[in-house]
Amino acid sequence: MVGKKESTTSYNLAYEVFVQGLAGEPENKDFVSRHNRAIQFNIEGEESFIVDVQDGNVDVRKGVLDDPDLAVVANPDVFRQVFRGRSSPCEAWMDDQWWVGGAFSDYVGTSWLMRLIKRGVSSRMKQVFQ
Amino acid sequence: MLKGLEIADIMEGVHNCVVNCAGVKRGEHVLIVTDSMSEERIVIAIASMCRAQGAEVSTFVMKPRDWPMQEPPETLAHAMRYADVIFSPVYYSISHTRASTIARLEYGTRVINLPTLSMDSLKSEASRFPAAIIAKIYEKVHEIWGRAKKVHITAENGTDVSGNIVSKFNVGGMPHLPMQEGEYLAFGGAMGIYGMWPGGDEGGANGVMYFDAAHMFLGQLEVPLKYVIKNGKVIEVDGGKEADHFRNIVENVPNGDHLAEWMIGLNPKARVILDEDVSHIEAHRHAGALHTAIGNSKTLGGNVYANVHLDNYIIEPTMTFDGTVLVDKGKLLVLDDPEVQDMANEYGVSW
Repeated sequence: MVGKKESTTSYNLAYEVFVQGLAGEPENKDFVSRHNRAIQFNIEGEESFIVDVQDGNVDVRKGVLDDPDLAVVANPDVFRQVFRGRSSPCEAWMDDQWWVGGAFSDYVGTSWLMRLIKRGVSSRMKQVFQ
Repeated sequence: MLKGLEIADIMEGVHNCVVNCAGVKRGEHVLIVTDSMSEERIVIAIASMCRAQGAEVSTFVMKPRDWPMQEPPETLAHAMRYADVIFSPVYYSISHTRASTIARLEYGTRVINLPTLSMDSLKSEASRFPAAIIAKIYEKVHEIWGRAKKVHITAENGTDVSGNIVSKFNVGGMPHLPMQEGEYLAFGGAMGIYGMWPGGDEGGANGVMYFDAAHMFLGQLEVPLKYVIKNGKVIEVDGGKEADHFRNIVENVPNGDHLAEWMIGLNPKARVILDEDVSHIEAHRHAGALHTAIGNSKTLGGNVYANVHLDNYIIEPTMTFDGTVLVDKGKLLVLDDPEVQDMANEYGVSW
């Protein structure tokens, strides 16, 4: 609907993308099983939440980790653009529209996070439009 | 002269690149990106080797880029996302572009960069050098460089620069062999580099560097190019006729002053060839030689994005890590390590 305000929180959107989209599609099983990592999302003006990828399972819950493997800081507009599939997570990262930190935020860890998000968004969009 | 048959002379090098390094497998989708300034026989050889592995091969011929790391056409950028493996025998590299980065990071494409690659490079001992020995040399370098906190680089040309080693920016520069999802390899007639991204402020690089060769310029420089570096940024450029080009980038390109990387070559058979291609890719892989970039570091392991990435070159550096000398006047000391030598004997190679 034109002009409709998006009221979904980043937490809800992350749940849709990671739990329903990513974990809900069997084709992602191998990718999700490769690494155990906890990702902290801090979205400006919203409650922080954690995406936990452990032993092939994906959980999204509200909270703050002391020492996350990866930490994402973003403003809600950029987060929505990426998690709605309208912007590339990688381009947003390259352009410093969002920031990735944490103990595993080297090249390998950051690449894994980009693919995790991309796969989740693609899977969710496929579910919605099927 | 049977020029077509020259392809036979490069096939061992191409096999090393396609099979041992890229790990192309049956059923994979391979995209070869090339341009009209590149050697057709190299494209044919790569395509043939990929087909022999059972891969589906597509080739995209683009207009040559005007400068290194200029973005490829949008149609190609989209095609790159859906390939399992990309080989790019092109004149000016597209390895650090947004298109390449998105393909690797978001879609998991394996990217093998082959800029200014010549038939001669692919025939060389360097390109045929066993990948397993490079992996062992890499491991030995990592034992020193990967555990250190400080690096100090000097050279008889006046270079004297030091910096911190920030672990998250010290990713080595080499993929697994064979490569895994989303990894990158520059195979410029050879493979084998190790390095770090100095990391801007956090890296705290300070000092002066003098370069023997410069990206986009053929041959050894008559007057060394000089960078004065302060807190990970190039604040002054001096030298011969090439200096204006680099000064313009440092002063006018956003983040063009960022000290992007310090990398050494690991390949004892790679030659210091500076007058045949403007990228000096094989020379970069010569064991113990150092190349340093300004501009983009973010897309390969650093923290700053720029629309340019230019590598300059020091032939014989001395590099010390927390007091341990790893490279002494251009000699990579781990080449004498007993484990490296045993492996060389096993493969029947020496240097």
